[in-house]
This record gives sequence, structure tokens and C-alpha cells, in this order.
Amino acid sequence: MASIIEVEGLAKEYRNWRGRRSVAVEYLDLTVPEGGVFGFLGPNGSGKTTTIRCLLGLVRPTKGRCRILGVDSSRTLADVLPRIGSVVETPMMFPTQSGRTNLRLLGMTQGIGPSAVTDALERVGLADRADDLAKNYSLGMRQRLGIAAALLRDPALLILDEPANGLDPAGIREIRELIRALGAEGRTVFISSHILSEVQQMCDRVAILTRGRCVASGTVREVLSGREPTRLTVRLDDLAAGAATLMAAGFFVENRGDALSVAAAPADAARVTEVLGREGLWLSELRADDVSLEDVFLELTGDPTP
Amino acid sequence: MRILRVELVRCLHRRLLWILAFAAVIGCLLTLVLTLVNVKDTDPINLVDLWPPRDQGDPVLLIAITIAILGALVFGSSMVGAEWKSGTVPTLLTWESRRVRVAVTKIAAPAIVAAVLALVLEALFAASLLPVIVSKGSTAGTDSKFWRALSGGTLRGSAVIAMAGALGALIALVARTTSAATGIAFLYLNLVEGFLRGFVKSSRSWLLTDNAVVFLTGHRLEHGQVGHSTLQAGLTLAAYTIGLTALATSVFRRRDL
Repeated sequence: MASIIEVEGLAKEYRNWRGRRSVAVEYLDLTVPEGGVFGFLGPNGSGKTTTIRCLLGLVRPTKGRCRILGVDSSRTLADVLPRIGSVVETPMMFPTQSGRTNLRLLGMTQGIGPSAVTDALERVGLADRADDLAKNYSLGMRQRLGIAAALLRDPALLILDEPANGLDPAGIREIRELIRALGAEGRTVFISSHILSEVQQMCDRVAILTRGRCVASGTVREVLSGREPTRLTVRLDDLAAGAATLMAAGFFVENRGDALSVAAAPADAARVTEVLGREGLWLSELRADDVSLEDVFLELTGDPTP
Repeated sequence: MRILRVELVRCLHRRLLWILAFAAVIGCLLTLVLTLVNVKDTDPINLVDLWPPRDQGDPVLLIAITIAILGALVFGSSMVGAEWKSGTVPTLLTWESRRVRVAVTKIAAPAIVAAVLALVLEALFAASLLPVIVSKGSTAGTDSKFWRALSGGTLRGSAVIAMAGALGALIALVARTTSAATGIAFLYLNLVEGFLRGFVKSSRSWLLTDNAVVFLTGHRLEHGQVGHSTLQAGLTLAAYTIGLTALATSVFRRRDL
């Protein structure tokens, strides 16, 4: 499979005015194959946005190199930029101009006409509010406007940094479906996201970044495989009594209303049964939860805030 | 050219431009009223006073040009400063990654708009004096020498106004805020050049303000100490503008965004 993004030994460090050094990205290697949706995950400050900025030529790497659509992004990015749509962090537009005017002005830089602007606005569900001033847009609407701007060039590669930021649940769902559709059209969508459940649902491949290094990458199945479940679902008649019994035995238990979620490996299932049985509490169901991307993420990064 | 067109459209969308233009129109109307009220028959304004040929008095039009220079400086700073503030510079760079091109157009666009608008406002200012000239003054002395002086002065005025717009923009490109850019420009022009003018006489040939005055007036305003001819002053100003544009572009090109 051909690579659309290749990052080799990328390092970026910043120095403040006192000369104090802070490392944003440390020798990152990353390969993103062509086609499909690629999730780029990492805790806050792990270097996701810096990596995206390096890819788009907004930041000069301290070391290493980034190749995007086959060109070195620090040298000949302009050659391929018309095939790349991007949103970096919160999309920034001119607040005193309408969403439509903002897109038309961006489009004019590449000779893109008003009909493409209308199409892009419709695609992100912003056609009704397109003529409102951008300063009156909510964060979610600004995200949609940013995505519309990214779609204007009919890009082969979309780079979206936290595209679901500020969106309500319905908006997140719409954007998820849009991203899936874009991926299914043969484009490559590279997204960084905080919402791991969304990433798991829409991404074909993921990479997990922590402290500026890539600690896991591959298809979602590959990343999840080999990981042992860390929670058991326990169903019984008296949930409150069951929870109290398990907690007294040293388990961490969460009452989900219809079942208990016990922080324990599958190997502890026998002990859970024994503890409950000793108190005359009989199980109607005991199963290991599926491993989620969130579990893997927390295990790899040790950070509860992706 | 596409990006220059976009920047020009952005300039025209900028509210400050129209506020300044509106203020200039109000200023012209005030000039009309004040001159009608105050100009005496014994000391009339004649058409030739707009830009008298060399050594025949100070050009009245210079008042409008001086104010327009300050307005262009603020407008240029605001154009680029507002882009930094709204965060649209990185957005644009994801569309046009050739930073030199982006920087040069961001500096050129306010300069072009300021120059064109200045020509219109200079004409409006001159027109606002016409009723007084017709009623209390005369059109005597408006020979070809006068029209040459007027058109030359007006064009040089627009060139200096364009340069002020470019300077405002290029300082803001580095300083990233409108207030910092205008502050730096005014501090430099008033304090630094004022100090040099007062204490380092030999530097006068190289000061922006002195060269601007020489270029605009052709040695009319007691700037005999500036050893430059009008052409040399113009070339000095052009060299400063090009040099500072290159410097600002170089800083912008290397900056992490």
C-alpha cells in the first residue's frame, strides 16, 4: 500500500526567551497509507498538533523530515497543497465576514468558484447559515466551516485536527458519517481526535502518540489485539449487595444500573464468582468486556485525558 | 496575482478603511465650511496654492497628504495585525504555502489600496477648496508649470502614502499586533528620528521623515540640511521600503506558526 504521509525521525523543540528547551515531538516515525481514515491519538501535549503543523509546513522541524503526497513538506509543499484540505485546531476565519465570503476568499486563491463554495457548505450542513457573520458562529459551526474550507479543493488528503471539537452529539454523529463517507470515496482522512469511541468507530488505522513518540500504530484490530480485557460485566438480581460484597473483597466496582462493571482481568472471574457465591449472591451473567481503544490508549499513555 | 486580488478584496472589506475614508470626507467638508467662513478677501486661497511651483509657498494639499500618511500607517498595521489576531495567517498558509509570496502581497495590498484611495481623497480635498477659490480667490497662474507641479506632487504624495501603508503592514507582519506595529512606527518616527535629527546632524540625509519631506516638497520646508535631491530622497525611501520588506519577509518565512 502506497504511503501518503511519511514521517521519519521528526523532532521539534521550542526554546523560550530564557533559552529553556521544551520538546514537542521526539523522533517520531509514522506512515499513513493511502485511502481510508487514519486516527492520530495522544494525550494533550503529546505532539499531535505540532506534527500536523510540521506536515503542513507551518512549523519547521528541528530534525527529521515529513513527506506528504510524495514531497518534502519543508521544501516543495506548494506543489501538492492544492490536493490537501486541512483544519488545524479551531478553524480561524475572518470574524467580520460571512462564512460564505470567508470560503470564497480562500477559494479565490486557487481559482475555485462560488458553486464549489455552495457545495462544500451544503455538505457540512451550513448552507442555511452561510451568510451569517463568522463571529456569530458557535464553535461547532466554526468547525463545520473549517471542514467546508478543507473540502473546497476536492482534496485527496484531508488533515483534520480535532474535527469534533465543540460539536453536540448530533453534530459529532454527522461529522463522523461525513468523515467515513470521505474515506469511502477513496480519499485519505488523517484525523486527530479526543473522542476515542468516535475514532474506534470511524478509523481504519490508528497511531497512538505519547510524549512526542509513536507507541502503537496499525489497523484498529491490530492495536487492540493481544490486549487483555480489564473489566468484567457482572449481572445479578441484587446489584447493590453485589457491589458492596465485591468492594469489601477489594474490587473496584461501578454500578451501571443494569449490571456491575468490575475492574478485573478475565483471570479474576473465578474469584468474583466465589466471593459473590459465598454471600449467596448468584450470577446471571459474567463476561469480560471487549477491549476498547480507550483501554489501550490509557494503558499505553498512562493518561486519563486523551 | 490571485492572492494579491484576494488581499485587495480583504482590504476593501476592512471596516477601518471605510471609517478612515469617511473621516477624510468629513474632514474635506469641514475644510470647505471653515475656509468659506474664515478666508478673507485680503488673503484669498488661489488655485495655484494647492501646489505652487518651486519656491512660491507651501502646498495646501500637503495637509491632506500628511494626515493620509498617518492614516495609511494605521491602516497597513491594522490589516496585518487583525489577521494575526483572528488567527487567519496559518489558515491562509494552508492554502498558499509560499510564504514570501504571502508576505509580499500582505505588504503590497494595503499599500496599493492606500495609494489609490489617497489619490481620490486628494482630489476630494482639492475639490472642497474649489468653492472658496471660485468665490474669494482666483485661478491665476495655473499654467502648465503649475499642473505639472500639482500632478507630480499628488503622485509623490500617493507614493509616500503607499509606503506608509506598506511600512505599517510589514511592521505588523513581524510584531503580530496592530497596536505594537503602530506603537513601534510612531516611537521610531518621533523619538528615534527626532533624537537623530537633533543630535546627529549628519544622519538627516538618511532619516525616513526628512527624506519623505524632501521627496514630497522638493526642498521647500527648510530641509536644506538634507543633502538629497527629490529623486535621491525618493530612491532612499524606496530602498528603505524594499529593504524592510525583505527583512520582514525573511522573519515571516522562518517563523513557526
